[in-house]
Amino acid sequence: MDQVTFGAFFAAGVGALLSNLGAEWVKTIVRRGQTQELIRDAELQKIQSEIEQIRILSERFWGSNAATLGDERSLMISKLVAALHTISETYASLLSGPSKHDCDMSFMKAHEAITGGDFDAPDRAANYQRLTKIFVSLTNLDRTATNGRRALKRQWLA
Amino acid sequence: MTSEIVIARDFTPFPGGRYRQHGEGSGEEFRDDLLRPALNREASVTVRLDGTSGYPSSFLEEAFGGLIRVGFTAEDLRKRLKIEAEPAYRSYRQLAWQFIDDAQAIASRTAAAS
Repeated sequence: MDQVTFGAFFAAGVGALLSNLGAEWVKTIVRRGQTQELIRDAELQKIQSEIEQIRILSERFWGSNAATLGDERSLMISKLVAALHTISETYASLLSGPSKHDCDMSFMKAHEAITGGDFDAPDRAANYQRLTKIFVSLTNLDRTATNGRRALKRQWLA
Repeated sequence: MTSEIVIARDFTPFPGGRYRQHGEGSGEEFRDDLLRPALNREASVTVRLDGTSGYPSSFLEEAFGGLIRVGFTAEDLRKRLKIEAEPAYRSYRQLAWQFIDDAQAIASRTAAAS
């Protein structure tokens, strides 16, 4: 009788332990998946925030001639190049395969629209047509990055 | 012989604008002081784009597209020039080749017209 009682208690104890371990294991997987999804969302937000910064900077940069911008011109050039590079680094860590390729294509168009041609010429004029090209290419880049993020396979149980 | 140029190490980690007169680290300076002499000296040249703080398109156009304007052909460059980049720099590599092809197209049109 005692042996039976001990056996029952032991089995119940092992069962409870396994059930707790199982629950913790599932929680860990869920937490890991959720963290991964949050990181991905944060990376997309980083890209979108840099795109917005570039939009604001470009409006001032290409909406004025180089002489009007004066000393601020060099600072704006540095900010634009750095913001573009941050976007490139961020989507390279977020995306891969066809989504990364699509982002590369959109990035190249935006990059050339913003920093190509007479970008750093000290005597360049304001260029509103170019601003249109910049805004369109930035919207495309935003859309491509968002689509790439959506296409990422969701983490299991996240 | 093959030569390797790592822009961040051998030139500058902070590439600048198009022309030398626009400041240090320009595309013109890179092309004339490093890339062109290496291409004239070596059978093949590898340029690594990684490690810099990014590139303005104007730098890339002058450094790589400018090679066509100083006498190289896209066909020759495809054989002898290798541009390498890790994922975050691959779009710069594609831009560099696009500028080489665009400059070649312009040079060919000009030659045909004259």
